[in-house]
Amino acid sequence: MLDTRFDTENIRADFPILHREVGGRPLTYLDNAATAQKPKAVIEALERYYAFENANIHRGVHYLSEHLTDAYEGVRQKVADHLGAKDAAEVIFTRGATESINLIAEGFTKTCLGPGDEILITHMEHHANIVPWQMAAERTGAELKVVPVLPDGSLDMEALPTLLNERTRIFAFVHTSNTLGTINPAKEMIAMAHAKGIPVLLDGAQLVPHAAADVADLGCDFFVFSGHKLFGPTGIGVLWGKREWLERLPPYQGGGDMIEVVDFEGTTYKGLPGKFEAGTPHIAGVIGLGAAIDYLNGLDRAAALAHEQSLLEAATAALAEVPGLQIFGSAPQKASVLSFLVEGVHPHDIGTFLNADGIAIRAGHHCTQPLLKYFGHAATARASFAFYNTLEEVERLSAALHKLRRFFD
Amino acid sequence: MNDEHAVLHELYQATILEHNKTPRHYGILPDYTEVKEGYNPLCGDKITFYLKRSEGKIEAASFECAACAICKASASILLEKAMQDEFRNFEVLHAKGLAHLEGDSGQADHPIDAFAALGAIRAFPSRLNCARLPWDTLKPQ
Repeated sequence: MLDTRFDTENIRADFPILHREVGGRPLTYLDNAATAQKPKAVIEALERYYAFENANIHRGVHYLSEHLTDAYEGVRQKVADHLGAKDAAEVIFTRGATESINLIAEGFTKTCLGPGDEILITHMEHHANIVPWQMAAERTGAELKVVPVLPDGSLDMEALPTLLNERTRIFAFVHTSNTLGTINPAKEMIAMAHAKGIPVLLDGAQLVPHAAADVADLGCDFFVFSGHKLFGPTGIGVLWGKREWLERLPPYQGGGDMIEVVDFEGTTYKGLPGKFEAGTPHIAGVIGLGAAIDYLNGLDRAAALAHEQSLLEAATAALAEVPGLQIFGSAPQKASVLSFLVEGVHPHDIGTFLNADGIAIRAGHHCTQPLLKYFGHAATARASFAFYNTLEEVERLSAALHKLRRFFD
Repeated sequence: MNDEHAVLHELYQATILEHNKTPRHYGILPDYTEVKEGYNPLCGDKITFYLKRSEGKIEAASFECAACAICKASASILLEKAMQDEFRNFEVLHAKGLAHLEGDSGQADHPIDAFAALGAIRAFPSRLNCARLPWDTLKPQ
C-alpha cells in the first residue's frame, strides 16, 4: 500500500544526482544498500567547510581551529544523540563500519582472545564482519563459530542458545542483511548473549539508512555504521562502544592526537574518545556526517520507513510476475532490499541490461560469499530502495525485467 | 531504440547470445590431463578448462563455468576457434584475440574473423574483465 503521507517529490528535490540522466534515460538509483545519495545539505556543508572553515582541530589556538574543533566535537554529540547514547565520548570516528569492526577485533585479539575461546558470528554477515574475526582467530588460536541461516533468510534462532556458551568471548552480528534485507531480532539476541555474560557487537550499517538506532534500547556493547550509507560522505564511520569496554581495549593506532605525553621511555594515551583517533581525522567527513544527520532529523522518519516498506511490497509483488524470477529472502521482517535471480540470465547481464534503461542495481556477491554459497549461487542481482525512490521507479524496474526476459529468451 | 539500446544490442548480438545458449566444448572432457581454473574475485565468476595434453601439446579442451553471458560466450568463441585449429599456433591466436578484445590497433591488420563478436565488449569497460577471464585462464605458458 502506497503511503501518501510521504512527499517524495519534495524529498527528491533535495538530491541533485536524482535529476541526472544516464545514457539519455532518467537515473533510477536502486543501489542504495551499496551507498546512499547525498542531499544538497551535505554537499553544501562540505563546500562550506573547504571554502571557509578549513583548519586542523584540537591543538590550534586561532579562530578557525577553535571554531572547527567545536563543530567537530558537536557532531560527536549529534551522533551520540542520534544513537540514543548518553556519553559522546563513547563515539569514535573511524573510516567506516569496516574499520570500526577491525578496531574491536584487534582490541579483542590483544586482550580477550586465546586458544579454546570462541568468536560467534552469523552466516549472513558481510565480509567486514567475517574477515576481521577470522584474522583474530588465526592470531589467537580462538575458533570462529557461525549461527546458521534458514531457507527464508532468517537466522536459526534455535541453534543460538548452544552456540552462545561459556567459551564465547564475543557475539558479532548484522542487524539488517545487506543482501537479503533480513532484519534480525537484535534486541532478543543481545539479551540472550548478555544472559551468559557475552558482549555483543552489532553491525548497524544497513539499519541506520532506514531507521535511527537506539543503542540503549538495543543493549549492545558496540555499534558500528558507515557515514556514506547514511546519506553522508564516504571515508567516515562510527564506532560506538560502552565506556567500560572502550576503556578496557588498547589503542588501535598510534600517532598524534591520541597521546597525553610522549617520551622515549614511554607514552601515555588520552582517554576516550581521543585514544582511538590517531592523526588528523577526516574532518570534512565528520562535518558532512553531521549535516546528513541534521537532514534526517528534519524528515518524518516513520513516514519515510513506511514509504520504503510500501516500495518493497510493490517491488516484491511486481517482480514475482516476471517469468523465471526468483527472490531470495522472505524473512518476516525485511528492509527495502530485494535480491533476485532470473533463470538463465547471469546477474551481471541483468545489471548491464538494466543500466541501458538508466536503472542502477547491484550484481555480484554483495560481500557475502558464504551467504550466497548457502543459497547455491555465486551472485545475485539486488535492488535496494531509499526513501527518495518512487513507485514509478519500481514500475520501471519491473518493466525492464519483463523486457530482459524476452531479450534473453 | 536510443543509442544506449543500440550498443546493448551490439554487446549481446546474436553471436554472443547464441554462444551463451549453446556453448561449444562445454562440460568435462572425459580423459582430461590438466585443469586450469580462473576466478574473478570482483563478481565471483568461475571458469574451469579441462585440457588433454599429449607430449606437451594440447589435443582437446573443454570448459565449464558459473559466469555471465559475456564470459561464457568469450570462452566458447575462444575454444571453438582453438579446437578448429587443433591448437596449432595457439600462442599467436591467443595474443591476437586478446589484442582484439582490448582494442589494440596494432593487430587490426590481421583480424581473426572468429573473434569479431568480442569487439563490441570494448564499449562496456566494466564488462571487459568478464570477457577476459577465459583468456587469462587459458594463457599459453
